[in-house]
Amino acid sequence: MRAFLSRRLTLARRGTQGLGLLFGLFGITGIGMTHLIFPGLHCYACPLAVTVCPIGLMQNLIVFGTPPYFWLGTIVAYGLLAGRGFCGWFCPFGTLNDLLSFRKVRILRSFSYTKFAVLVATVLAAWFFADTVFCKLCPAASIEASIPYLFMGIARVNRPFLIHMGTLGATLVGMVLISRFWCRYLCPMGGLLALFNRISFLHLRLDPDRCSACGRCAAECPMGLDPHIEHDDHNCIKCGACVEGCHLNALSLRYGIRRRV
Amino acid sequence: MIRRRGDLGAASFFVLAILAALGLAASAQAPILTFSIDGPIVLPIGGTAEVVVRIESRSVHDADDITVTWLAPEALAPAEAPEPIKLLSPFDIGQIRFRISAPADAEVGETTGRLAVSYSYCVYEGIEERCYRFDEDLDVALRLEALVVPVNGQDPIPDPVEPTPAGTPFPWPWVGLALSLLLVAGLLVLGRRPERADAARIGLALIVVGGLVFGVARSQHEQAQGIGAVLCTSCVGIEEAGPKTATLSEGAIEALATLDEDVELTVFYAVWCHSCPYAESMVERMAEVNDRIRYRFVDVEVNPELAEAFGVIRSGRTVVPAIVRSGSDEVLFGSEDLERRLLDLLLGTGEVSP
Repeated sequence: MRAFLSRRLTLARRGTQGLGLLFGLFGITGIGMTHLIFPGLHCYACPLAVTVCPIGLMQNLIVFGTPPYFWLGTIVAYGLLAGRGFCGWFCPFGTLNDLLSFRKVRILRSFSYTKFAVLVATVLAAWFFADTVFCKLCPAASIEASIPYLFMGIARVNRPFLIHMGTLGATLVGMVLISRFWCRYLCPMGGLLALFNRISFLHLRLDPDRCSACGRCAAECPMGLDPHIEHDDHNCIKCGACVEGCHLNALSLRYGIRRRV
Repeated sequence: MIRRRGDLGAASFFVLAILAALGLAASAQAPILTFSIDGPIVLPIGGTAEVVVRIESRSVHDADDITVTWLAPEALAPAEAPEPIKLLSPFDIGQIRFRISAPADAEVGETTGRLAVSYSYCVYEGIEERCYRFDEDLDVALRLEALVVPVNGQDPIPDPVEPTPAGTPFPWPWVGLALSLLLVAGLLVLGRRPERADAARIGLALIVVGGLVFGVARSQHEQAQGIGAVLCTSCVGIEEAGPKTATLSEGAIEALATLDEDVELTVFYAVWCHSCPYAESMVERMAEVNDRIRYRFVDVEVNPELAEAFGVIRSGRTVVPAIVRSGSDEVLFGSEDLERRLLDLLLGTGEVSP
């Protein structure tokens, strides 16, 4: 059963990523905006979005001076439920990163902390400029808002549009050169969820008795980690690529409370 | 006889109805604010004095953009333009305070200062909203006196003591938030040790429940929906937010003078939208140039059904700022290049580019 599951992980993940995309574009049914916050980086300005972007909402609440209880409760819930599992299994922008993951390289690993700096800078910029500064640079907004609104005749090719295209282009190049470039180094939502990675119910489990430290899992990891050593790392998106890559079945994805091995 | 009385009754009813309609129409355009200044104001030569314009609303309507301008004598004009009041609620009382100064060569004696006050207000007629603008002149008695050089070097006429504002409520929501964030951070640190992770998870689950319950009780879920449902063009970088106030070019003023039909513009805005003030200001400036342009401002969060009726909602998203000309299907979104696009809309001089 376990072997069967481990080989089917990618297939299952494509399914949930499809559900994430469907959820993100559910506005096609015409239901309009709901009260929900998306568990990933998905622009609420997207013409088909039915959920609010957590980072966009966070900035708006800072601008309004609202103590963000609803936001906090939702983010902690997402953190507990899956942590960065949402990056690997649900987030549409993560899925784009995934589809462009051609080069699973292990470089610039210490730069993975940059995303916490991006998160802090996003908060400070919203506070200081009383504006949603991050949204004006966000590559997810480039794809999901700038381009659609250009075709809807509301956006024009102007400086903000070109800035969006610039950040999108740079991110796309990064994604092609380094697998999950955005998720690894820059995503502020990934930074938020990463805080909960060690404590979330979805987790990677290592059976040390089976592990021969061959390093095959590390070659498979799109985040450039060494899963048999760093299975609790803040950058682990719990995608299960290492589980599939491990021929000794030493790694497994588990949901629930962790048992000490 | 009976028949004649009946005719008379019908006629008088008709006349009364016309009078009532005229009265209603007239009352809708009547001034709704009274301005007063307690005088005379004693102004020391070479010194300054404070002018307090008291504004009283005696209407059920909100008064918008109340401005005070000093007209005469010019020599006494305030160094800084008086701060306008953006909004005065029904039956509310407001004040605009500013300081005027007398130059050292002014003459001792009594004189009269002249100010211009202006404001606008909007009334609903069905779903229609009509806005009116009023300008009044106001006189104030001034007494210029020789400056008494103080012995102790202080201003001989002390500034009026500012009333201390009523005690601000203790920021409990923020204290609660700070404690919650500290608790989350503490629990995350605690959860790093595997044997304590379960306790940390229970603590975090309680924060989830508490945050959601308290947030929903404060209608924060609706606030989130509202933020998502209204798209401000400058907020996600569709365009840059312009300045708060607009100025018209010479060409635009000349072009506007050629407008010879009544036009009604509706400006849809959101209070937190950065590019909306510019769009509002642009319409106001144009209406000042040509009084055949009437306008109204509609807050899309207060009047979503009006936004829907005017086609300002695009695929579930209300896009602001948006300007609609009554009787036209065209909607101008955003504030970029607005002067030209608005002129196109008003005068029909050419294709309105998107």
